[in-house]
Amino acid sequence: MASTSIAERRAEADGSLEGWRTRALAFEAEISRAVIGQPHVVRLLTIALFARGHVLLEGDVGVGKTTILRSVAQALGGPFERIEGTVDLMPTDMLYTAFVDDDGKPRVEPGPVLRHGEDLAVFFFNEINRARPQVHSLLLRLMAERSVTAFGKEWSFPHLQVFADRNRVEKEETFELPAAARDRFVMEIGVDTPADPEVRRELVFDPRFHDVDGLIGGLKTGVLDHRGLNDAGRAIQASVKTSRTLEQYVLGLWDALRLPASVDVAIEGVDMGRLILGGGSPRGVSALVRCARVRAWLEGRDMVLPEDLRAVFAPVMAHRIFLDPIYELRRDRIVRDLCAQVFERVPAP
Amino acid sequence: MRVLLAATALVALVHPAAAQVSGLQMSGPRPFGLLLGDVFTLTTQFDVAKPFKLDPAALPKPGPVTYSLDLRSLKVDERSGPDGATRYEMAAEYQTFYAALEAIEQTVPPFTLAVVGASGERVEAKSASWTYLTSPLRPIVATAGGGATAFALQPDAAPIAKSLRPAEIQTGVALGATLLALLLLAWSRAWPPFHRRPSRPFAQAARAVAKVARSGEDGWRAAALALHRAFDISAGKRLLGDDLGAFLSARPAFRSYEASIKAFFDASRAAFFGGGRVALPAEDLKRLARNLAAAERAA
Repeated sequence: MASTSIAERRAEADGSLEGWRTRALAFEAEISRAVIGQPHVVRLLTIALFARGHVLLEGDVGVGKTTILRSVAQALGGPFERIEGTVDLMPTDMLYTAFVDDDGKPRVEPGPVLRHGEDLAVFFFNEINRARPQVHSLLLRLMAERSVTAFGKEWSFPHLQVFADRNRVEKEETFELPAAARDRFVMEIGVDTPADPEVRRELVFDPRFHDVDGLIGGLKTGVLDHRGLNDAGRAIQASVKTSRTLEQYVLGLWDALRLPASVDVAIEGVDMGRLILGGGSPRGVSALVRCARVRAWLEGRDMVLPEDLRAVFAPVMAHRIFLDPIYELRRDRIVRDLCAQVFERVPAP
Repeated sequence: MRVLLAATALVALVHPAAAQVSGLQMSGPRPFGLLLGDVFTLTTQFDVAKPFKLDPAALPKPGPVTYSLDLRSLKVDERSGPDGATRYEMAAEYQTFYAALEAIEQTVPPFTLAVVGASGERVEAKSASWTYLTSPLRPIVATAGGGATAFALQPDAAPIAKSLRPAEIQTGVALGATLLALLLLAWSRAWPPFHRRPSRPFAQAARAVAKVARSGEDGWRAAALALHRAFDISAGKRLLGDDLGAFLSARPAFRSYEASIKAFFDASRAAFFGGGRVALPAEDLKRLARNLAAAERAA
């Protein structure tokens, strides 16, 4: 596969989604060489790639968020940039690099976002919640429109995919992402420590996992062609069908999310009548359907099933649910229960 | 009981016969309280000196004596008496037909006793008469003016009211047992009123499926939905095709139908989400629903 040229692959993409699917599975397999015990995270990232959505990874410190994203960037190929979120990071720091050159003159060069020009494939924002709201604001535009204005002109990044991560342990010197920014992420994927003792043993004792650079460097690069993803994504959305029944089902899920009490969702210690302030935006639900289509395609089907919706529901929808502030502290558990119960209550088909 | 009366009636005999017939005595029953149709016997005893003998031809013949008194029979007993005489004992049985309206005195008339000597000389004597009181047959209540006595008309014997309680109890028990058995059967088969038993969703679904499965594609869809709802209830949540493995491993009773269940879910996917045609015949759907209901009952 690595031997085929990009041009050949593109030609193939036009005619055959099947080829893309084979490569997508190969891509997953490649990442799984470096990332073990997280098959669902890898699958969700693959879905997000083909759904052309940005992803926020969330998890404890040291569970491998950065490793996962670097692996994806490596296997995907294409220009990759990263930036670390800090409290003094300013929006311009993403666009420009200011320094004094050898001649002692101040110079301004393109920053991380612009360094690779408009071909940028992956932009990785590490510890996004440490950056200030001004930075979030710029990032919002970059994600929503895939464009920025710099050096007096408009830059467009048609192939850009933003990956971000944040740890959920620390709350000091952090800035919570605004709702609008979170809504732009097609998925928020929670990364947990693998539960399987064998995987954990391997992660701790196998020297292969001690050297992250070596681990990622050993991955094949360019398993997927980042320039073809837009077309492949469109082709998937066009080819995977949703039946009338499924559409009804999605609307049912959406209603259940907005008014959980109407389908008898009950969560311990929660007044269901006042829990929900906002239960998923139309953009969120359309993202859900997009991701479900990609998942169905990855499973080799040309129709979306409720199982597809269920597989991507929590990552796509959970961060778009806005709770009454008094329940925010218990958000993780409440939203997890809510998503699970919605699927247990809404009839399918 | 016959009371022997000591009273000896010395009958005025024909003088010449006085020496030939002696010791005439008569005894009878108690001379009162006789009623219409009563039978009584008068016994007459006398001695006849030898060589005289009683002339049987002179004795009265059985038959009416008066218009209300019949002689039913007359028996004569002869044996030797004191002083060489012959002692006769006659038992005359009478029946009175006198219908008395009130207690009234009646008399049994005497009859003639003739004795004949050896040379043919004939001597006659009269037996004693006997007087008695006949009583009316009317109820004593009427005459005595009230009060229940032993002689009053007794009320009709009440019919024996035989108790039916044991039979009633047995019938009741049998009915109760039958009802209980019917209820148990209905419960076991999830018939009404137990058709909404939460633990029998498939029994309910099987009925719904049987009703609608054959009525075209819409019917098939309705039947499939009914079956899906049964799976949902049985699983306690909405059961999707991917959850079948866990569902079946938690419910071994259904495992023998695993292939049919999978086929049903595949057909349902195709019909509801694939927009395709119905792939599973209605007959198979019905059979699956029936089998699942049976498996659920057995579980």
